[in-house]
Amino acid sequence: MTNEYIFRAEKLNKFFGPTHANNDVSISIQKGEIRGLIGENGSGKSTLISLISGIIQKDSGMMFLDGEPYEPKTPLDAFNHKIGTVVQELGLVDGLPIGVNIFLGRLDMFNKNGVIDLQGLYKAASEHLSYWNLGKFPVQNLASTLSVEEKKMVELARALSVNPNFLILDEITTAISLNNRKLLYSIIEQFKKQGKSVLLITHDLEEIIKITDNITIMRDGVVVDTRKSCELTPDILKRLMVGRELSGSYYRNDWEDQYEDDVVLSVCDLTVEEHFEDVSFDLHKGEILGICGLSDAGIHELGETIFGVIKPQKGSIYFISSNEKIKVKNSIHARKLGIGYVPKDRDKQALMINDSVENNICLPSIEILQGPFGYIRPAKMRKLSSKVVNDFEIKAKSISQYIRGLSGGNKQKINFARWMNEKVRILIMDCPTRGVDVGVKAYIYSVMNEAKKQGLSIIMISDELPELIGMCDRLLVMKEGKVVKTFYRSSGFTEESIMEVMM
Amino acid sequence: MKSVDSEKSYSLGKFQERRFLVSRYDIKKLLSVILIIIPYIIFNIFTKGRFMESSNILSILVHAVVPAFVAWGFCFIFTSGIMDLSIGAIMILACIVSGILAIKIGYFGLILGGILVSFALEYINLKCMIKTKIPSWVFGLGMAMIYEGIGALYGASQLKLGKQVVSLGVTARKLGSIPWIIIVLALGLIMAYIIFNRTSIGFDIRAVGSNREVAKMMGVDVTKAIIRGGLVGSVFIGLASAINESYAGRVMPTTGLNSIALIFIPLAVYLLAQAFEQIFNLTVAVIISSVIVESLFNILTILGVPSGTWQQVAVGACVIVCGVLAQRHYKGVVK
Amino acid sequence: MKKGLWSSYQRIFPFISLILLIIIFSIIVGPKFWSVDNLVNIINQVVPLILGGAGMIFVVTQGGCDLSQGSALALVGTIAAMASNSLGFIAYFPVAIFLGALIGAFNGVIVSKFKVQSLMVTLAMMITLRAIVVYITGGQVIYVSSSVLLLDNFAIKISIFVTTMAVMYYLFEYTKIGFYSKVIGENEMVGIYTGISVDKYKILAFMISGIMAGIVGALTVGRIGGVDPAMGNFFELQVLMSLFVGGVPVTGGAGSKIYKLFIGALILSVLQNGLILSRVSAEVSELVEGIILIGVVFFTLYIRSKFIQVQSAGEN
Repeated sequence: MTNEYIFRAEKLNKFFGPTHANNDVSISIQKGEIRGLIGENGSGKSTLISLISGIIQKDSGMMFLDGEPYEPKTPLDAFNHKIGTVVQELGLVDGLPIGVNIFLGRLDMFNKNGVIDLQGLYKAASEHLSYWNLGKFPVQNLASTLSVEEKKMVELARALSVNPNFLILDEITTAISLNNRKLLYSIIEQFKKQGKSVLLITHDLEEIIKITDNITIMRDGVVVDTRKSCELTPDILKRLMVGRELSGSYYRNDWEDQYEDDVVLSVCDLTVEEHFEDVSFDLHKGEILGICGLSDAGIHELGETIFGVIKPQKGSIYFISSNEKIKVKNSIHARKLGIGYVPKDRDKQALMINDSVENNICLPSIEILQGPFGYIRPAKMRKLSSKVVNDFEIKAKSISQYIRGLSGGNKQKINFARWMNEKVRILIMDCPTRGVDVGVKAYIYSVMNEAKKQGLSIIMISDELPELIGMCDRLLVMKEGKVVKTFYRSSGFTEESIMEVMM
Repeated sequence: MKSVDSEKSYSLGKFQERRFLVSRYDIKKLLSVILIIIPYIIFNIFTKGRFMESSNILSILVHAVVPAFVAWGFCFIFTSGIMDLSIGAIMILACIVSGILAIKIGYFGLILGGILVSFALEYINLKCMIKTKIPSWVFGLGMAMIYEGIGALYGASQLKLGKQVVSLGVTARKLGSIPWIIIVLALGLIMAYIIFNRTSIGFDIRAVGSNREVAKMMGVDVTKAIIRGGLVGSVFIGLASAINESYAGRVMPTTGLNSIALIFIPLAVYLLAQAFEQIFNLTVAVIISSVIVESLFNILTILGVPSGTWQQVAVGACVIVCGVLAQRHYKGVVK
Repeated sequence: MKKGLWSSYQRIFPFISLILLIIIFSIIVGPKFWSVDNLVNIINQVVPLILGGAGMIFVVTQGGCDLSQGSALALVGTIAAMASNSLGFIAYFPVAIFLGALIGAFNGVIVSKFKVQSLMVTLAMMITLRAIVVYITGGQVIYVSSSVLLLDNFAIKISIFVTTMAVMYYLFEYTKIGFYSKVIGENEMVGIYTGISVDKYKILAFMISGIMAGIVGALTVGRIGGVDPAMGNFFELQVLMSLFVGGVPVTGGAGSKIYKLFIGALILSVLQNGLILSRVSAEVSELVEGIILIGVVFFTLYIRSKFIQVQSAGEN
């Protein structure tokens, strides 16, 4: 019996601690359909894909593949059911050859008397790559020799190597160049012709409308709607994603570059190999300076370098206060001078998740709390953390609650609020609103605006253009490691004009 | 259309450049071989030719066999991140059983005994480590105490009967002497090389060691990979025990965690091999490193350095230096 | 209700083990266990463990370990004894502390700057330093001047113990050294991204561990009345066991507390003392200790994971 749907999911649920990442998600994809999946960061798209490709297991619900019940326990199960996935931010095993990476997990198909036929494997890998026209790769070399984009193409080759009937692509287009995008579109077209299906996730709204047949929109772990692509415009999509009219109400409402003339931070000819080169700019007192670019443009690394986590090969960073120019040596020096840093990955880089709210809040201020003989009075720590919890309306049951149990938004509030002490003059924020709900977003923007008026200078690094447009006085656009253009708030910036420079 | 072509040729150009780099690796290989040989020649002059005498070289090679086998074992066990400190104690028990069986049924028993014991004990270790989630080194410490205790109890009971712990006398001693020991070394290299580089066991363990998360998402069963790799490693450990028993003819149980000292030299060999990994294949590098480390001791002995003190200092220094060298390439990754 | 239970288990579990052990040995061994001689024995065993542990706890809290402590105390004891023989007693403690700090600094630099696992580095140092001790002493016992012997006085020992422990307690619980050590153990990345000098605090932790090894070394020489090349053999493992048995998390981090070291050292000493008094052979005691180490570490990890769940839910 033939089935018109290649894949069907019914009422999938997945919890991560207190977060309901997927809430009764139902989705059906027809054979030969190109389906788009779209939603803000943290809306549950990646969770859904991880469930389909066997990386994590569902808490409840049903999945069907070609009409048969489908319950993947491991990624291998998904491969065996001819589901190929390219997962966002995954990469390859650097220590193994490219060819082996393509077939890893299924190496036994090259097994000859217990030994793997490497020549055969490399040959198959090369043939596979040229069959899909993915370019020539030295398949016997280690994957560590590849660039980010080349790795993405090998990952695509890997997903295609299971001869999939259902291909899932999670944010693959942001990392690859225009030529390879065209190649990808032709592969998708080929899938459609053969009656196979593709599920595509991307943040590029015009792209998704152009390539897909239908688009499913997710918000806060729930499927909001599925619509025909030809009936959609980027504006309608945005509204569906955010859940209300985008009026800019929670952003700044002025359109002036408002900052003082005093320069507080000066970056000169900063270069970090493989990430960015010759970046120079000045940051003024009370300025919000935005930095944007595609995922391989080097924006996050730039932030880490300014705070001193990465050592630059060339160039320097100067902290300027009352006509004194001090070279920032490293992150320790940066913090002591009064530079704060809000990292992108709050669970891995910012917070001790198995420790209390109190200790996490006090972490950057410990040296301020010190009394004589380095004595840190527990009462002082309690006072500070209670104050921060109250001031920033952090929803925690007590200051001794462990961070693990807080929601993403409250974690991010701590990550951000703990730097708002009297010493910090410059704050570098990397993706400050990633994966937090709209309410917390609005709150963070309002605090940023307030702090700016008090004279705090902020470097805001983000891959979400609307918030940069909404908040920044100036916006540096980076492409392939270089600052290609600077936009000013007063001269007005639009998403289109920025995108044009960025792509 | 034209732009597509130029893009393609650009990327090809990049690869050609990398091929050039590969040939630079060959130069590097040659250079490092020269760098290894030069000190040999210098020391040879220094020791008035005694160092490079064929009998001395052969003796270095013989000494290098057991550490090489243990280090091959480490290639399969430590690479996936399992720091098992009980391997020394396992080797003692494996030597005891290997000796007992050798006396009963000869060479077959010698090899079987070593492999069986180390296989079984390593299996218990790995299973429990993964189940209990105790960090491997603490777990290894605990198991080392338990295995040592068992070995020492057996030793004490034998001594009470007035017997040596295990003494082979003249039985089954050929495996530990020339030419068999060299043949076994060659066979071991072939085995280690093939399993490490040409089987899914080897690739899975390397994938887990290189990037656990990615390997998992690519469909590698991490637990299975660790256990399968560990068991292959245990076979090498078992062989090392059998060879050691045949070579030494007896074994002394240790107490108070002295068994850990047994794996110091193999540890130095393994770390040095890791430092060479960019140039040689890890399994090949193990033999080279083993010979280098044993040469060092040989030189020290020829120079009249006492074995108990300064040679031990040399082992320690060797482990640290090799560790530093092994981590040298790692720096970029560790932020 | 259930939540409160886990949070109190985490605190009570080591105490219960200690009391149980004492009861068991009181029954098996009888009044001899409570004799003054035996109590002094236990105290003599506990004091160095706690002193060593107070240094080690910084390293363990950061997620590392210092296996060189035992050999370091032997080397430091030897050289300090020789220094006091030639320079007089004034040099005894300064030399011990300085040398301990030096050894610790070496460990710390290799671990932090060259990114070699602390286990490997300190394991290598353990054999290296021991070999140097054997070389210096020539395998013989060296006798020391009478002023060093005075250290074996109970009152002097206890006053050194109390002052040292007061300082260590302060450093660990109430200063940024302790705080940052917990941060590094919880998540080193967080330390790096909040501008903490991770390398500096790693070196400092190893230095503290080395200094404590030096003090223990000085006291040990005083107790034995000379330098024995085998002194402090596997002392570090006893110290590590005390920490883990007391409930300090093996992985380091926020769960480290000095009081846990006290209980752990008591449990271990009572256990070893009791086993000896019960005429259990050395081989069997080692076996039993191994089983207990694994069992207790497993239990504390399990209880800690439950505790984290409870603390995350936020009701305490």
